[in-house]
Amino acid sequence: MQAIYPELQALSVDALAVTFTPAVRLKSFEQEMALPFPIVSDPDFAGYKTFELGRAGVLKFLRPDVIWRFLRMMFGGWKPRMPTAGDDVRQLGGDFLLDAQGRLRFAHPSSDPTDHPSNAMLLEQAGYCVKPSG
Amino acid sequence: MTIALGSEVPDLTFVRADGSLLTLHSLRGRSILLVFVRHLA
Repeated sequence: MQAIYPELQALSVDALAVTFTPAVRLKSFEQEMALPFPIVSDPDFAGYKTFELGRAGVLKFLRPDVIWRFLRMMFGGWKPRMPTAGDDVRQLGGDFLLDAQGRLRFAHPSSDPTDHPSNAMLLEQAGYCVKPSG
Repeated sequence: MTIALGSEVPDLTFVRADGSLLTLHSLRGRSILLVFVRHLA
């Protein structure tokens, strides 16, 4: 998603990453990843619950397509880390676009740990999100 | 999902790395992509 952040900004769309990781651990992550957008903590999972983001069953991690996508991510440079205390490796994520009035315009709750919308889809939806209606 | 497309998302309060709070409603005025991530791995 970092790759399309400049294009999102050009569309006047901001980005905010949300994690359940405690805020005290965010600083080192921000420095290490050099994220171009802010990351904040949702320690009580309120946002995850609001958007009804589920938890993956163990079997989902063992599905061949999910293993394959994890391998592709690793070949692409992603390095998995061991979870630390408080991490919930089964918690799923999701991508949501809100318009300037705070209304939900696009929702993609992940169906498995590797399920994400494509960058092209995010940019397309971002374009719709900022387009004046009627 | 309970929140229908086109519906207003309720306010949420997040915590920045420095410990300060950030509410979702304070970000109104610009569209925003919220990316809920899995564990930071």
